[in-house]
Amino acid sequence: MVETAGLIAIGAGLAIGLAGLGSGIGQGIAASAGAGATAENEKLFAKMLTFSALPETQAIYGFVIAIILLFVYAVA
Amino acid sequence: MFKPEKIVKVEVLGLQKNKEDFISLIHKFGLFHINDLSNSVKEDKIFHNANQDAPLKETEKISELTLRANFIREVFEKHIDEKNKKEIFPGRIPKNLTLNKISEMVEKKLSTFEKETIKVDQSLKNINNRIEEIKSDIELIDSYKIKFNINQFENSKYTNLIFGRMLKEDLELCEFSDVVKANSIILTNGAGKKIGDVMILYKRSIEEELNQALKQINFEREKVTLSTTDVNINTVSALKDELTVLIKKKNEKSAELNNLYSKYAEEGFIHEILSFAKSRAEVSTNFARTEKTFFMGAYMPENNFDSLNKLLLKHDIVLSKASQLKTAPVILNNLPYIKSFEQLTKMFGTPKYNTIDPTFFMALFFPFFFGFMFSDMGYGIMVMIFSSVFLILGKKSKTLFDYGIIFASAGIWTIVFGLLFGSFFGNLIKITPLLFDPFQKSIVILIAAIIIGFIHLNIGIILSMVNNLTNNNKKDFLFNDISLVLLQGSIIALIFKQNLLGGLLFALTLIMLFIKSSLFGLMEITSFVGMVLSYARILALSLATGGIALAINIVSAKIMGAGWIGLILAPIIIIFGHIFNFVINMIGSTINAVRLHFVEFFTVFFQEGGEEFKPFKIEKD
Repeated sequence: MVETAGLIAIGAGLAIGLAGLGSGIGQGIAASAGAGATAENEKLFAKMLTFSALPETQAIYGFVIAIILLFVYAVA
Repeated sequence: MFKPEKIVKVEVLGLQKNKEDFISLIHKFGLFHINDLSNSVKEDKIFHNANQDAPLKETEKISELTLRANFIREVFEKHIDEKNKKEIFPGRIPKNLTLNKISEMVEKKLSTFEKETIKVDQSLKNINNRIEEIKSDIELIDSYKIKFNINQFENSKYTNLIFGRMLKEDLELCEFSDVVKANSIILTNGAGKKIGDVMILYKRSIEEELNQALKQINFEREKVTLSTTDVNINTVSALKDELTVLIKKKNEKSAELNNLYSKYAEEGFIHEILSFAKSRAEVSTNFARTEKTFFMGAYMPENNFDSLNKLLLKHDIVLSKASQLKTAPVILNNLPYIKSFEQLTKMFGTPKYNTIDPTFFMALFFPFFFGFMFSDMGYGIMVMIFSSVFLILGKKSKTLFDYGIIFASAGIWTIVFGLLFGSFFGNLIKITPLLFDPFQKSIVILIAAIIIGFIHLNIGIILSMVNNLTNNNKKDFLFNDISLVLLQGSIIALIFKQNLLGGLLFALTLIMLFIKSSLFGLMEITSFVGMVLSYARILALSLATGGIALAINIVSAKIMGAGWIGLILAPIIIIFGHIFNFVINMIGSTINAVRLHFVEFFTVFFQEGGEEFKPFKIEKD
């Protein structure tokens, strides 16, 4: 039981950590390019915000999996 | 409320003699977004003998006054200390004055300041120039230990004096001939420095030989002059005395200028009046004209057409509606509370004319999402305090007032969710939750967040349907909106184990998406699923706020038990910890609530690219 709980915790941590890592790197690249484009043309702010937000989806997937692991499988 | 205000395109025809009255009227009422007809005139699209109209005759005077006012402002900006600079608030712009009267009024005000300011500015320039001369002379005389008037030797018949720079080692290695050495004096400064300033006083007879020698050693010539002609042993101390006097005079003149500036700041709205007068004087360059008439085109709100038409007819000016519009400048038309949220809508962009204005839904959902993500009574109270500061400052700025309203609404929802989840700075003050503890039932909040996402996105799909049907975009209605509805139908059918129905609906969705954009169309499915799952961030942020608050409370409770140090440290940790948590999660909740609108909600229906309605009017917002 303790082993299972431990493995679930590790799995949840990896799910959110690795997903967040990839998402963060992608968003950093997109956001820095977006900031440069917006500095040249303010009207691009909304489009650049959208592009910056696109890589975030993977972090959300990781978060959802972590929550399911912690609160569904752990409880079970 | 759900769509921008209805706009009509109008054309105006009147006699030249009534033009100034017409311009005063439209400037006062601020109902026209004026079209520039200059290109249409050039392309002969107005009527046969039309030319571009000229600015009103007062334009020249207004431009001259503007130049003079700008000069005065530049003088003040150059000399006034930063700490003495005042914010100049615009005064009341007189609506009923003619351009002539405005010119007279501004001329009178400017003449009060102009003479004095120019006089003081000139004095300060002369003083500063002399100070620079003295400093340069002192440096030169000190470094070369000059005790004679060097100007008399420069470019004279028998002698010359040159200054330059070169590397010290080059000078040391340089071998001047005995003739050069005998007929010149070479002085250097910058003892110990690598690059030295060199002064060479020499007889004209050795000029050529000296120049040859200097070419070998990279000698860079410099032009140096000494303003003081009578140089002797006491020159430096006399110059220093003069410098002290000049600096005192400079300070006196600066104080005089600061006094002038204080009076000027009270009259500062000169610039505002001139700007308004200039726009009124020059607006007719957008018109077309013949010998006796003028013609102009503009957009205006349809509601005001009849009343303005009656008024203009009294001045023998004809106002007529042009044909039906597909596109026009946009005026967002919302009730006062909702109008504040236009700040957020416009951050994304202006909606196109005759498409949905999402501000109402922004006003509905933004505070809700913010409150759900922040969900703490204590932090909610802090948000309300923060917003009341904005509301107080908002008496001078509409933008600050709007943000005050936005955060006040967000603060109310934060308190509501704090009550529902029993959170007051985490568990600092124990409150029984009206609903449940989010840490105990996270899955419930996750499911709630996903359902909220579905509802939010489906509102967007309905708005998209309205947009597409209004603008007769049947293709987008079918392949964008209906395909998403079918996709959701298939998911729901499969959840309820209606496999045949679910399969059929899914197949239909795939076909429609394939027809829309071949294989790329299939990415719409993952894109939609991603958008729905994105609302799970509501749970993430809600737990994050509560989790950090909990951690701060636990740490400070543990430290409290550590003797007298703990008694000092614990309150510090509580205060600064909760301030940190407040700042971080307020920024996070704001950005994520805005992002859920911009990236998920608006993507479904919002048609950006509208031109903002810029009325030709007197007051600025």
